[in-house]
Amino acid sequence: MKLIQVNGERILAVIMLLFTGNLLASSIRYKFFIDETTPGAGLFPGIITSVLVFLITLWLISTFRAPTQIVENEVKLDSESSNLFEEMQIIDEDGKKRIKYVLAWSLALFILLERVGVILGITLYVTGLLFSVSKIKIWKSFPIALAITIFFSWGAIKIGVQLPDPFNLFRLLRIDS
Amino acid sequence: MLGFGHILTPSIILYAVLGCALGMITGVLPGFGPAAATGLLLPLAFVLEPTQSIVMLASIYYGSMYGGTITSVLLNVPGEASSVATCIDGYQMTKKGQAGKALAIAAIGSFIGGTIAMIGLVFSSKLADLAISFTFLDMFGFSLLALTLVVGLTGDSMIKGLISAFLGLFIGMVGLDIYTGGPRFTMGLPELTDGISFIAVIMGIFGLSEILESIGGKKQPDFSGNIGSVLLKWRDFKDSFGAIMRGTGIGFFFGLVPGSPAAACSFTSYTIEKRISKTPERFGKGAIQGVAGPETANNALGISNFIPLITLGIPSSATMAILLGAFTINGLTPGPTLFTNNPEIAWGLIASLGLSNVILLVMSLPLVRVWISILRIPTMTLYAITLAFMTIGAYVISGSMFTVLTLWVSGLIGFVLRRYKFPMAPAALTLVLGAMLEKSFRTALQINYGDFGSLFSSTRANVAYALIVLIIGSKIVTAVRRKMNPKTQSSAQKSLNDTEEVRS
Repeated sequence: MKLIQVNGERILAVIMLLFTGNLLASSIRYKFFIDETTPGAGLFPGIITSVLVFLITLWLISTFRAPTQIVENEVKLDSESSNLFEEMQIIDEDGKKRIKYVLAWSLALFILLERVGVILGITLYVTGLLFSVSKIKIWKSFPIALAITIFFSWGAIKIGVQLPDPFNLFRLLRIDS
Repeated sequence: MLGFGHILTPSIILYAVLGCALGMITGVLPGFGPAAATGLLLPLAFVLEPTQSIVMLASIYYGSMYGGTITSVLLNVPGEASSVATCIDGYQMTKKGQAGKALAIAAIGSFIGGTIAMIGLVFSSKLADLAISFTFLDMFGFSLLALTLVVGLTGDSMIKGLISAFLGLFIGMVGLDIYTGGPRFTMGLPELTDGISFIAVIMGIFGLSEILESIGGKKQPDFSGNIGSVLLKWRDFKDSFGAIMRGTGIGFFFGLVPGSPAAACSFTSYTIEKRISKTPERFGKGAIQGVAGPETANNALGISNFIPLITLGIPSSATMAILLGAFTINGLTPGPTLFTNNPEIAWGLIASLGLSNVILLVMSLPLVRVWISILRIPTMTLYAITLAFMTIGAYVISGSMFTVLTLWVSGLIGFVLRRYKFPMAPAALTLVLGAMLEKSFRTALQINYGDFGSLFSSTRANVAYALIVLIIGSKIVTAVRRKMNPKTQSSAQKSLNDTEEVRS
């Protein structure tokens, strides 16, 4: 596990280094100075991205220099103190599955929300989450989701928010403004 | 009196009550601290009028602090770093059937601490009078100092904290350049010409990433016990009074220093109470002073945190950075000019904190069983509902799915970075500070014909630079000392030892 963690840090550092390097190149294109006295659009981003490149490089170097014992101790600290605010929770295989369900459902919502509207879209979304993550049966989760969605929508409309409703369900439910 | 006259209207009071209630509900969600709670409900700043949104968000912030206390005391799950100290004795009181007492003293201590701190806040307008004479050079120096103080929020890894801070600075630069009007880093997307939505990013990195982490982690405990009576005896008041007064002083002064860790404040209060107590052996086993002191300090810090924000325009914590964003969304500029240009907002904010203080006391004790009932709802169900709420909230900001996409991308990036121990608080702070920093930097340079040496021509700015060198130097020295002497413990390890000792 510790090797995966260290390798993960190295991969992340390399990705971030490539990304910020690209940003630094863009900053140069925006010009650091418009004329001799006027700072250009690229000056401040140039300074920020340069510092970022420097910091990420330091971080990458530290991942190669850190002894594995220190990494082991950090992992041990994580697993023993998972109730402390600062420490990260251990995510097991079930946990990863739950996160994947959430991301998959959220992608579906992202595609559907404007096409089917808030009432249907959010109801289906919450139903799916309650079923897959909370293990609540559909015949229970659907009415709960519908009630919550109508409540939130009513509240949002009351304070003047416009929500997508291609099928005019707000009017049907008499909650439109 | 201008502020109270502006605030004491039925609609504003209603928003304050609603804000406290929403804050407590979100604060009760395990893992949700004031920053996440305020960030989650930030879209409200977009749809309400300035006074309404500022009052509501301040009340949400206030309410969420007490919501975090509830989970700390009942479940031994701190809502945020500063609640860890409350867990130590608060949870022990719950085990002894005295949860109601612990929650009551936390509420009363918070009220007293908040009221006294508010008096200090009232006098902070004098600081604004001084700050109004600041030039662009001075603002640049102090913005840079605030950025450096972010180093205090970096946790155990300074490099990762600084990377997080500079990433936040970069995100703030996406969009149209303020001087040339040309697009920067927009990748040709018209949606990015107005910049990346601050609200969506904050909701993502604090709220969404926290939910993803909690969904993936082990099951959070539900609370099914009885809290006992919330009525305190005279002896409980007498025993706690000293702790409350000392906590108020500690919290107030910690809050004045931008970047000072809130956890350090509450632990300082706890440590002092334990040291001066005639019966220190009671601490860790349910001593009421162990709850009264840290909770009062926490609340007093929460109020005094507003002082650097409204007088200098410098946020001293992630939550203050979020509130600064709310000011900006409403076209307001917190800082020395707020008292002159928008006195009704400045004094209204101060008055709303006083109002929220009273409302919280009224709502927290009699209705504590209502808030606790939220804990009986399965956590995953609460998270599912919160995700839906966040998605609607993100959509409301711009009426487009692009902001929802921003929310989810920020959330995923925040989740990944947090897994690799990147703190998110520095990013939130610099996301807001970045615009101010760039503006003061470029304006100062332009006024002085591009002369970089002019950045050192102001005495006040030089004082700020000297403080910066001092802060960075002390941080480096501490890090080097820690490496050379492995026996030196970090604060996380110390608190781990404390809680391990309590649990055994």
